[in-house]
Amino acid sequence: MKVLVIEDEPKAAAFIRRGLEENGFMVTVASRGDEGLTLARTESFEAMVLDISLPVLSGFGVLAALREAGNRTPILCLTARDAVADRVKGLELGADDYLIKPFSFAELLARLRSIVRRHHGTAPETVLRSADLELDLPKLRATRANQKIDLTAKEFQLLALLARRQGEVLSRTVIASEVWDVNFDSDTNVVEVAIRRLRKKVDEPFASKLIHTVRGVGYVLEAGRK
Amino acid sequence: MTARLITLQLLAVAGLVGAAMTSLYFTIASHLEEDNRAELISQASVISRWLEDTQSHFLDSPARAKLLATMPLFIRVIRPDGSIDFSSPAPAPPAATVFPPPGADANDWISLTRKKHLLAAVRLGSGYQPAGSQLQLAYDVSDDDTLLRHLRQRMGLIYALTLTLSGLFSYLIARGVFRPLAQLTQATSRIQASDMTTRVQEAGWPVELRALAREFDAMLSRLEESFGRLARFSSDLSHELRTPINNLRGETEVALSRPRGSEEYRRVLESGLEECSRLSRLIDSLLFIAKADNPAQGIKKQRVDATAECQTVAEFFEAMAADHNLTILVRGSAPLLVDPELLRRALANLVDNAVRHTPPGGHVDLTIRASASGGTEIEVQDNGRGIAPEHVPRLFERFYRSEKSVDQAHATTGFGLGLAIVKSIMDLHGGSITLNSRPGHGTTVTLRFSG
Repeated sequence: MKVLVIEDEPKAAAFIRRGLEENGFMVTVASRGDEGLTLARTESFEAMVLDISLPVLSGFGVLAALREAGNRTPILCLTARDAVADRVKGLELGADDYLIKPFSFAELLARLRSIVRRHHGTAPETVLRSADLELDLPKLRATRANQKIDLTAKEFQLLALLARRQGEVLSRTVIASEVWDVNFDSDTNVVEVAIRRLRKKVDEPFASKLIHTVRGVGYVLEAGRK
Repeated sequence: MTARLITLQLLAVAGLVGAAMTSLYFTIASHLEEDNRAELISQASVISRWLEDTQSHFLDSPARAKLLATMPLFIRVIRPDGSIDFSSPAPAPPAATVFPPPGADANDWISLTRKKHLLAAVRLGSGYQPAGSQLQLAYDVSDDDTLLRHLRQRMGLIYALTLTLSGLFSYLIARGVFRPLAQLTQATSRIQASDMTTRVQEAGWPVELRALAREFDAMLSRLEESFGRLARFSSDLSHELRTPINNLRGETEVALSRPRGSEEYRRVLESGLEECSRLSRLIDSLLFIAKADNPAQGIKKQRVDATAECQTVAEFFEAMAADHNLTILVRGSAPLLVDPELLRRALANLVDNAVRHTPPGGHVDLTIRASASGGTEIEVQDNGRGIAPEHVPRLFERFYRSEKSVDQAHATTGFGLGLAIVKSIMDLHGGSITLNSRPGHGTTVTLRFSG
């Protein structure tokens, strides 16, 4: 998947490039707005990561120029200012999502994948599988090695989220937002506790573990991860 | 202000005294003038009768000397042909032409020696020969003139003296009135940001200034309090910022000081990431409160079902409550006009506190009810440890923790901003928050939203 990253801060551009490449993206980096716009017009990308404060041509300028020209590439905006007006302006100009700096890379990855998915409009799955774990979404039934696992409604939702995006490290914030509709960075360790309780039911009785903690980043469901 | 007061006072005194003196002077002057005219007319009639009776022998009579000795009077009789019948001796007698016509009102004449005279003329009766002669009298009133001049000088002197004294008095009075103000100013100037404990004290000031002194001291107390809060806030903030940065820096430095295994590097990086998350959360929370402090900050209110919002938060804490063997119960319902995101954040902070402070087997209740004032109340009640009364008034301050030593585990994740954030959220909604706690029995926090 080809991604264009327009970011003038060299360290940020470097870690985004590296992180995305290691997650299977092909990354092109531009450090100026006009340069990025030219690249976006001449090549085709599946998604863009766009910093708002850029030299020469701001992120808003790039966004407006692209959308005006009918380019519908999914765009994730980055901003160090969390003024509501900035956010609103970005979304109005046609950004698909935004992230406020400092952000967690896991979150950037999750949101980037999510806007690409939304762009393609993938059909909702009904059964999710990972190794011997099987989730029947319409029936809200979870089984592992054909044994039924008793889960509360929220535990099932949590497991479904991890399974749907298996291999992807999900931050606590993303999990809280997707499962509980709690959209702020909470100081509590609620997600940690919920994951611990889920593991007790899903992983503890079995030899191979599916749910893994990536310390400081979040959680990932992946079969065969060391 | 003193100068203005004195000026006004002087203007008033000058106007009043000036008017009084002027009117007095003119009364006296006009009285004197009338008296002189009356005197002249009566003399004219006496002398003319005398002349008619004595036929010019007036000149030789001893009465003449007597009359002229008592009265500074110049007498002249003019024959009808214009020649002088007789005239009292005078160095420079008035010309016949300056006299008014016989019988008319007296008029003024100034002699060459600068003496003021009143002039009058009378036609002599048939007893006097030649018939048709005219009596002319010039009455020297220069004494009265001198008197009036002296009066004017005296009055001017008194006027000047009055003004001077009055100015002096008003200065003294003004100084007396303003001295406490000057002292108050001095007392005020002694108060410094570094020492906010000085007070001007209510007692000892004139009654009129006591209210000012009291209000001033009250304002100082409020200032001192917010200064103290600000100072504590800055010191807490720097502590909260330094701790993670210090960890980050120290761990990284030590890790880089010699070659290590990849597992060790990983551990350091993970720890660093934790500190970064901590810093991000701190910045988020502080910015949130700072923005909420700005009243212009708008919020997106919408009608929501309070029960559903409480339920969402209760579900969020479900796992944690189960872990602590607590029950979270939502009761009651009411429609609510709020920013749902903010409401959830406020409730989450309160439930988080409640869950952490309630021992296993306890319960946390979220109760929704209509308030007496027509709004809606949401009560978050626990039957946990409670909070000692001395902590309660400061709980809504930023970074205030009632339990620095008790809850070390949470001290590493929380900043003591939770309740400050809840309060900011309530302020944004124009609502209020109250906290009641009984140590050993639990804590109740009530959020009140106006209808």
